[in-house]
Amino acid sequence: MATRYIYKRDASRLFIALSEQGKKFKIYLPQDAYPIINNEEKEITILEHKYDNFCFLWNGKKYFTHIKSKDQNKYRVIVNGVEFFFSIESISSYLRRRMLEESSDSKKTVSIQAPIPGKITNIFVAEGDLVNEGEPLFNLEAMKMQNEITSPITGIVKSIHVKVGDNVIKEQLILELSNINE
Amino acid sequence: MEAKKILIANRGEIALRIIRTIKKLGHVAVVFRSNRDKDAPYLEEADEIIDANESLQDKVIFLDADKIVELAKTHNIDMIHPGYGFLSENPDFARKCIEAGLIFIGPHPDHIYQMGIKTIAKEIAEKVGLPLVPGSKGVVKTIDEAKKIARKIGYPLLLKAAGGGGGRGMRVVENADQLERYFNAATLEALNAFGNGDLFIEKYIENPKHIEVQILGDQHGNVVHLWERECSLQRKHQKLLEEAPSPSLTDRKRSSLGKLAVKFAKALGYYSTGTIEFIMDEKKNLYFMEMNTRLQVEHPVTEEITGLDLVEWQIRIALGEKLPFKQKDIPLNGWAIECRINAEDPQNRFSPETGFIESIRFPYHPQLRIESGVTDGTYISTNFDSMLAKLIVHEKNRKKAIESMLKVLEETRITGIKTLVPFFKVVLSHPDFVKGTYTTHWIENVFQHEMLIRPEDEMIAALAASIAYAMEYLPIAGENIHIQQDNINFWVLNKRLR
Amino acid sequence: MFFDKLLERKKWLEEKEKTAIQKQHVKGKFTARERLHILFDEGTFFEIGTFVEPIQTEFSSKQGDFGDGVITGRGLIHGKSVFAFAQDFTVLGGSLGEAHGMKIARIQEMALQLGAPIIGLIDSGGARIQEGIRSLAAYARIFRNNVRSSGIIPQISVIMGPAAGGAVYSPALTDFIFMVNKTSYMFLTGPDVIKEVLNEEISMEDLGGGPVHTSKSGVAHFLYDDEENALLGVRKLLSYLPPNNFDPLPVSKNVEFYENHQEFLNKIIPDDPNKGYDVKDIINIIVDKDSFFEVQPNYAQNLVVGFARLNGKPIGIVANQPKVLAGVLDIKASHKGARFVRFCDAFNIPLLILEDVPGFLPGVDQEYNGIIREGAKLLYAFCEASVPKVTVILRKSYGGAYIVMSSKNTGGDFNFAWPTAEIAVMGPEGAVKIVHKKELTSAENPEQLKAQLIEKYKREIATPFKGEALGLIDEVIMPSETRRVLITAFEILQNKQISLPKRKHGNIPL
Repeated sequence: MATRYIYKRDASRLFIALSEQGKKFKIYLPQDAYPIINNEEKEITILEHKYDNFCFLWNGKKYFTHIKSKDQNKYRVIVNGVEFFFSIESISSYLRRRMLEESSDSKKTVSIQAPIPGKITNIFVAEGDLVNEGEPLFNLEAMKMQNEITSPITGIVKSIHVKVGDNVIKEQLILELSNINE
Repeated sequence: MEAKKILIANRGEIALRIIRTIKKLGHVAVVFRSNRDKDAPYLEEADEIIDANESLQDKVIFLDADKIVELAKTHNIDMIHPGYGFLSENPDFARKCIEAGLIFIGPHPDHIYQMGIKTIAKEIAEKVGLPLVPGSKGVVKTIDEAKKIARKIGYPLLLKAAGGGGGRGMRVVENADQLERYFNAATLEALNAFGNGDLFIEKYIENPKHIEVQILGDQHGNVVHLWERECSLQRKHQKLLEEAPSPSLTDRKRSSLGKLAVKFAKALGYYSTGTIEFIMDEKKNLYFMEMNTRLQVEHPVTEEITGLDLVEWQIRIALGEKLPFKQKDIPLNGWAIECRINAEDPQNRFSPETGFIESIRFPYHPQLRIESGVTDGTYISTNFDSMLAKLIVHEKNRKKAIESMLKVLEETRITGIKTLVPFFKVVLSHPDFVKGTYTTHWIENVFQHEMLIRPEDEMIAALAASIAYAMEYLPIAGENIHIQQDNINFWVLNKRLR
Repeated sequence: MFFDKLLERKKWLEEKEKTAIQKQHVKGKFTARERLHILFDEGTFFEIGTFVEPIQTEFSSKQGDFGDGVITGRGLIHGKSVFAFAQDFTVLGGSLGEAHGMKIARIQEMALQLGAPIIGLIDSGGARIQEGIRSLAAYARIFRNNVRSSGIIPQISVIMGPAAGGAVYSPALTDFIFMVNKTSYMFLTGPDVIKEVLNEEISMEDLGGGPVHTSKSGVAHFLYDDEENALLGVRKLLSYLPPNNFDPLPVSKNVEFYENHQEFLNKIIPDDPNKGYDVKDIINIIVDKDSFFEVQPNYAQNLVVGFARLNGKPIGIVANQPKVLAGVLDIKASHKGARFVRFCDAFNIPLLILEDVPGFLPGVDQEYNGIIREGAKLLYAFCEASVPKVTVILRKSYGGAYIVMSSKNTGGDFNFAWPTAEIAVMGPEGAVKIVHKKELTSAENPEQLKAQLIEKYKREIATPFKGEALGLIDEVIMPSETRRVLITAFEILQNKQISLPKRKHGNIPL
């Protein structure tokens, strides 16, 4: 028996789960029936649900999932110790995303500036490195505290303008990242 | 034998493991409580706890030799077990214990000292007839000397620090142009890390396997070997998985290697536990690397195939007992594999994880041995190393051992932080591991974090996220919010009062 | 025959909607009607003034453009009455003409009379040039209504397209601004004018897009990736707010919390005082599960503000964020906090203050830009607020920052501290250097003496127990007890009333 999940918005229970690499899962959650994923009915049932943890049963195998973080419609889910990122879109928001990407001329180069004055104590990347969003770029020591500055985007380190030991002022350009699409 | 008070100068899973044996032998287990690890699970199992009370500026107790000895004396301790890491291979600490009248559970401080200097170890190995990796005889003092040796043994070559390991002070030199630059860099790094900038040079082995032999000796000159372990799955020179015996040796090779190890130990006059490390090249040649004088993290796999309790024998040997068995009495039963479950994220370059362990559950399996230093609610910080637990599986052959370990990993559940559990599932299923051909460069050259993604896990994740999203908007769509209506509407009341 | 006209109009509306859908969807936007449909509870939107006609001028628009580019009306959100207006970009670019402006003003006045929140879905090119000064006058009436309603009913603006020139003032006067990434912009003078006058090139997105206003200027409060989620966000926000400043706060029946995690609070503060941590981890453990809704998450991240629920009842949270800039207070954080505190005060939402602040950010930059005045804003806001105020000092609380963050004598109702709290005029390092200057210079081992004096300072002067003894800290509590203590504290303070002599209003340093 599937758990009842009722979603009132727009009477639509159809979602598109989009991963960072652009992989998509079309998920339809009907009331009192098995979910339909990518147009195939999957006999998945929910055995347990506590806080943000689900235990699914599928093909005789148990899958323990844990929602690590959520921000609006973006979720980080851990299944069997491995982390996945999905943004949950409705049909309209998915189409909107596609439309905007096609017509966008998104900023190619992202500048990373020092948020406060301080001393560069560590630089974790080199020119040409691929960094993921959230990965540490460099350490800035200020107010007797180490501030780890992480990357705001997934991209490639285009150029580094400082070296370890440099004293920098606020908003000084530390490094530049090239934005890579998708 | 009367009960001795044995102090363990260590923490985490090894403290728990040593406590177990101490209690089994009827002795008293004493531990330290560090201010940086106040609620650790090992404290619950000890018979007695000594509060270390370190201030923020102090060293952590496990690294403070003088304080340890002082506290041991005031608490009437008989013997000290250093565990692994921390001060276990510090000859000064061993000497201080002995001078204070305590029995140090380990080898003679002189042997700790000698084996700590890689060049001395190699000299002795050569004298005894062990094969060495072609390289410098002892420390290389100048660039010119280095160049001479390079000409003799050829490139690529490896610069190594004489004073310590773990990859520091180490450089691979591919060609003559790099030699001078890397020589200077490695010297500086070694100086900073160990206080000793001496380097020695070896031929660089391109696809090496790491094989080590466990030996056990008493204070009466008897030494036996307990077979070998293969520890080739490493990342930045840190071992992650070990197995006993090694899939890369034939039975004949195994015996002769063991004999060589015993020969080395006897030549030294060594007693207690020790591990002699070898490196194996692509042509299956074995070369002596170094000797470790501490009890190693991976000792359980050896215990499983021989049926011996190594900690027990360390204690007995320290008390002067004679080994009651000979080499022919040492069995080799089945196969054992150990996985080090570290709090590291294999999806993100193995970066260390910090945070609370929400829950940690290992399955029950008759052939599974668990050595865990943490429990639900333990906070993992950067204060100590990231190893949470060791999983050891012992089966009658290697194939079955791999199968069982995979089953155990599949049913292990750890929430709150990410661990290497999914990584080991990938390793144990990979043909390189199954065939036993993996080398110490496997993680660097072959492993990719995309291997961790299983399509069905990904789909379940998408489903879970969608359900969570749908459920979150239930209350926002109006189900759970209501107003506590009083009889009079306040808005109207306000107007009437004006 | 007028019956025919009714049927005709119905068909006309449907046609119009179809063409609008085509135009908007191509740009990744919804039509005004669709947005209202998403915003309100199913089938509850009642439109008012559908067929108001635009005024006719020499430059007039086509005949029969009923509605004049804005849809106004009232619907239910969570079963409660809410008024809204949604501008229709497909009609004359959503520009504001006299009729359009009158419709909006009418709906604002109705909302004010009936004590219900008002939501503006902005998607407009600005004033309608053809109508000249009449559009400007229409705007003025709207702005005046914004101000008259301010602090009486919640006013929310959702920027869903351009909002340029004078059009941005209405949102700027409202309580919260939502923006939609990549399809909404706010600026006073657009890129073309900037290019002409200053010869600087900049795109609309870079000048006034969502990211700019939610992280650089701090004008907007929420940024969403698409319109649907933005409107759901509005609904979520409303679930914390009362419909007007007299009605009681909405209480949720769902009071789940992370029971197992309360113990974590005892270990979450690092031993090293220079190490940061994420205060949001603490917030999420203390409040009801998933009830924390952060406001302005990307602006002045060294101060975290937002709504949450304790035992189903909404509260406002103001917390220093130690992992950003060590949690210091600076210009941006000060006015971010001040505005939020005053909003909560206006609508009777109790405040929870979580403190871990080493002080104000030093620097010439800060001083020249008036940190004195900005810090004073936050201080004023706390002192002025007559809602229940409960403070918990988590770790550091030094000097002026201690006073500003709702300390006891500024009017804090309950002030608690964790055992890890350090409350003093300044941090131990600095204090010891000043007070014991003589001894340190003449000591033979100054480092060791300094370490001893710092320990002594922490034990005897900065200890929270000192504050307890003086009655300035009500109690030093066990971190794992925090939730329980807070629920009781807020319950005690439920009917708090303060009466002051009448005055027109104070003079907060703006």
